[in-house]
Amino acid sequence: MLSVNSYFSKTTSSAPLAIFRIAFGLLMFISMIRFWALGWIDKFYIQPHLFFSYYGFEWIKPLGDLTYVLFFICGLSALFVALGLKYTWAIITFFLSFTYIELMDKTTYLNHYYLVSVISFLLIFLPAGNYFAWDSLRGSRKSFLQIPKWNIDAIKLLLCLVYLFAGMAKLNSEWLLQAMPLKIWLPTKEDLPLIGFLFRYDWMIYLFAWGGALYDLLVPFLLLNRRTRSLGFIMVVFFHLLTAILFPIGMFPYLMIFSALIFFNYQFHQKIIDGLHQILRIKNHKTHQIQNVPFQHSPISKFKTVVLAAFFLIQIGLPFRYMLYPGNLFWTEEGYRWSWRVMLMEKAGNAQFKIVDNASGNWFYVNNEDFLSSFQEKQMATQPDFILQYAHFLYAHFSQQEMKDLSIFVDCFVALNGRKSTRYIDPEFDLTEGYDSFAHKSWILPFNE
Amino acid sequence: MNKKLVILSVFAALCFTNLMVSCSDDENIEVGEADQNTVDAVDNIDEDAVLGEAFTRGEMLTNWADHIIIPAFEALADDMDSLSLAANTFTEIPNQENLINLKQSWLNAYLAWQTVAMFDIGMAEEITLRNYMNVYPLDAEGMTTTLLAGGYDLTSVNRQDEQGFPALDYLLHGLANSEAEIITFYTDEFNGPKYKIFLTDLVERMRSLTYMVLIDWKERYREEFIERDGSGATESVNSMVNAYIYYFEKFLRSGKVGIPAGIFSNSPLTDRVEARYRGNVSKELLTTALHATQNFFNGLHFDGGASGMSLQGWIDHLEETRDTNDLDSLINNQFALIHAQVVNLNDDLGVQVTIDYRGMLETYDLMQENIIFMKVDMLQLFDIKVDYVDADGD
Repeated sequence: MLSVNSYFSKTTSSAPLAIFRIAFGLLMFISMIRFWALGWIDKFYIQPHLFFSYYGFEWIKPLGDLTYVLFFICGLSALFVALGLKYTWAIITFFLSFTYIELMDKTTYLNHYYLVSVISFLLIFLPAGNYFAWDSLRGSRKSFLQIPKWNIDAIKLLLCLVYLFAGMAKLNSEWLLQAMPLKIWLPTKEDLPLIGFLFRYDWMIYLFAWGGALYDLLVPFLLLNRRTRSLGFIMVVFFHLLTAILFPIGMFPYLMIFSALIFFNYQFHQKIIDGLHQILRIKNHKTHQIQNVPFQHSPISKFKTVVLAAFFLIQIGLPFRYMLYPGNLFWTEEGYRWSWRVMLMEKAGNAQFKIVDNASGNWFYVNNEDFLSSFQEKQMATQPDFILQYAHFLYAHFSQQEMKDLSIFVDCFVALNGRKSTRYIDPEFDLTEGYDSFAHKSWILPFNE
Repeated sequence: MNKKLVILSVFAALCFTNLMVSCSDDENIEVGEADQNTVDAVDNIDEDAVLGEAFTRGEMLTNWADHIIIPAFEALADDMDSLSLAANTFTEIPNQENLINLKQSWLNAYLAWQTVAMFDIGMAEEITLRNYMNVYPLDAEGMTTTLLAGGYDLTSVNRQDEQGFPALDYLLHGLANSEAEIITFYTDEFNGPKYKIFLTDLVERMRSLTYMVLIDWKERYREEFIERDGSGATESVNSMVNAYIYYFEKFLRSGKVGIPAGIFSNSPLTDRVEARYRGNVSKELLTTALHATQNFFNGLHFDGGASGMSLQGWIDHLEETRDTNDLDSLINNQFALIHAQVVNLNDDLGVQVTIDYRGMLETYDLMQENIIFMKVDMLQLFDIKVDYVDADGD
């Protein structure tokens, strides 16, 4: 107990947290501009006729043209975070607006968006705006040269969890023994300059698979250990830039690279801050005026500690929830999200919905293009919760017409990691009788090796 | 010291990525060629360990362009010339003999169209050739109004369902029940000239659009098509394969079979049959289109003489190192099943729909199975994304 208490009373320089805040804020600001500039707001959140909600978050929907305002607020708050301007409000606004955006349509679910939400949630509880921030430099917010050491360790812990879970998820026969899905993806990159030819070798694909898994499992330890830190960071840069070249993964590699800087000691971060002082011509006397005020413990910070403890318990528990479901995880995807399972599957499907009017016995097929964007259709055809939600949408849509008593069936075939496609959903199951829940969906047909 | 080195390496690496990514995107052909040399050099070192020397995208693209696509457009252009000639002869002397000749020329060109309809790429995609050649059902009423009013603009998007093969179908077969009566529309003192002019305008427009695409293929696009031999989403192979599957799904399966059979609408729709005014050729049009898609899959040259690299060969090549087997035979067998089913249908699919729509439904289901083989299994094998979505992954 004593050692726990003494750990929590340890302090360290607040420079690393300040640099982390600046890098995170700027990257998010760039991300929002990029998202906007690529026309994705319109394409993903305005044009589609329906949106796939997360279970329990059906009330979160895009806001029509106001969605642009939402993105504007999100981008602006990211910039405020970077500047350290009204930090607490800025990071809360960023967390809420970003998370709202992600919850609007699960079609666009990405682990890295989830990571952004999780990091920004954590940042709400950390004193990241109390050093080298606009407000602290101008004196309107207290400056802390020292903060509790656990503040920085919390971010390190989160990043380590991400890597370790991602690495553990790769320890399966598909990845290690079949080199799937890399064997599908990498050979098509053989026209890349300089490195493309490598992917013509089968053993190279295996090397990438094993190397990727090892990297995820080892890099946290390399970064934590002072002596191997530089090596670890070089690996981080190399690995993430390689993935940036090979796969369309947007800002994620840069987020991971800059986040990993947090593992370096405070002198490193202080040098950057000193450098920035010079470049930005912030007069030195202002920094020297900063008092060495230790971070004070208060009832509020006790409350924060409890929230963060719960947060980390959830972070550690959530990726294991798949064990509560029967069947193959990749096939059913029950318990798949929010678990740092990245790049594990190549899944393709085709779903044809049949609407039966029970009164007359008449039936017809649905032209998915009438209701879904091609992105939504692609995601829908391989994920049971999408299929169910879409069926309920179709029910609501068609039962407005003359027909009242409808049944909806789906002919759905899915191919997973290079296997021949097989039937995915029980074609006899009337989807209007199914309801989403955390329970296992028994109408998913079993996976056949 | 150490730390500075690290920072330096970050930025150096960042610059490096940008360079790499911008090169790999497109344009930089020099780098691509240099890379090709590297690959060749590697081939020489250790031939056995290298996969993929039997297949190159460039070889497949060349086969498609030179032996399938361009010859198919040439054949269509020839038929368009004959159609134009026959239309001129008919408008000069509107008699039964010339009408019969014109009808035959129309059918020949319509059949030729079925062999190019899937190539919605390059200039054809740019000018949306398909939307001006074969949108059906025809808006016969609107077309008649347009025709009689004169001063029409056939390039207008609003006129897409008033022109092309379906409009000619109506003008040659649908105006009245007998040929003699149809001819009176063209000999009519008051409206006859308008019908003649409209007929000629339609044919000339179809002919000029066809030549526009053909000439572009020969003089410009062929080179670009073959040069863009990368694996990216906007490269030729991905675009062509997506266009091919989209055509098979939307125009062959749904357009020619599913929609008339009432599969999307609860009841058969006889007016949605291709060439509905002529009637008895809709099965032939379907069969021709089916053969064309299968031949493209197998890389069979347009003249039927030989075959080159295509999707079938690519599957074969990839399956050498995968667990899946014989996807190409599955697809070809499925084509055979579809053909065997189509043979049983009435020559006029409109009649088939009325007397027994289940025959059409079975055809549709067989085609749907092939969609799954192609769109799900084949595309996964090729690592081609369906309707490529420009979005981040993780």
